[in-house]
Amino acid sequence: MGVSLLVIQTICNLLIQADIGPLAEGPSKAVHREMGLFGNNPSPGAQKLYNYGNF
Amino acid sequence: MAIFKSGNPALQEKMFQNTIIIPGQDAMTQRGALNKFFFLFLMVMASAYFTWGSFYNGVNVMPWMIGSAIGGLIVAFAIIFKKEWAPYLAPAYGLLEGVFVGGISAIYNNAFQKVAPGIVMQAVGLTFGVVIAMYVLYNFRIIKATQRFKSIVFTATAGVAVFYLIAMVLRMFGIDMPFIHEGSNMGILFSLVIVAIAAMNLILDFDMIEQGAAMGAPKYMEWYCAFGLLVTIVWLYMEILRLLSKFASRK
Repeated sequence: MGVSLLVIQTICNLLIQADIGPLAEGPSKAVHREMGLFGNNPSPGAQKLYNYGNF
Repeated sequence: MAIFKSGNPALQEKMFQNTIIIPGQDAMTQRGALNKFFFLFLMVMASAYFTWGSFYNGVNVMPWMIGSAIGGLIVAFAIIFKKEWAPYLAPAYGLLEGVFVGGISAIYNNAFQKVAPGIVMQAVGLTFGVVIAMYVLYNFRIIKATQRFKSIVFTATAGVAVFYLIAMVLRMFGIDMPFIHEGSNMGILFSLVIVAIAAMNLILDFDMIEQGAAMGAPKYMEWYCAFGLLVTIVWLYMEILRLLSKFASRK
């Protein structure tokens, strides 16, 4: 079970990274909804991400 | 050549059956595994700090995050299937995970700075709280890693992986699975269940370390077990971060 469990844990880890991170479609919708905040006082990094990631 | 020091059939964990102790070499210990874990944790913190700082300095960290997620997966599978490489690859995994964790934490911190300031610190604090609580529960045998418990956690974790995989495939076709991203009551309940499953995985990780030490697994298994613990804690952290973001999105 040990190796199989570690494989599954790693896959879960990757899939959530893909989901909340940039691999799938940008950050999760929870963040997506809040992206308007970037417009108020965007940090340079956020602005670049906004331009780059189209989210 | 002694493969195991213990002849106890209850300790015949498959994980350690392929590991071989060479005479004269040290065996793994629980303290050794914990020390290795703290070293890996420092690796994570160092690269996370670097990515976090870069984000706030205007660097586009997105390509780093994509690279580190993919690189982390490759390194993780190399460690899983070549346990002897763990002493060399586990620190690299820690660095790669740190890049991703630092980047996503900076993005969340920035996105929620108005509605939920300090969301990242809350997630870090909660993650540590859960890890310590689970360790206490395990150490005092309030939760026992019985075969039945392991099977349930294994099945639940596999279920989560399959669910996420299906959700990812469906999203490619424009279909969004309910609950994953919703800040509704059901969405929060969904996240709570996933956090609970990730927390239960910690019990299995602690058990793996204890079993490995009891069976006299070789020294490099300390790195392997520390890596396993890190995988779970990073997963737990990201689930907690998402759970908090759901709460914040309700404000």
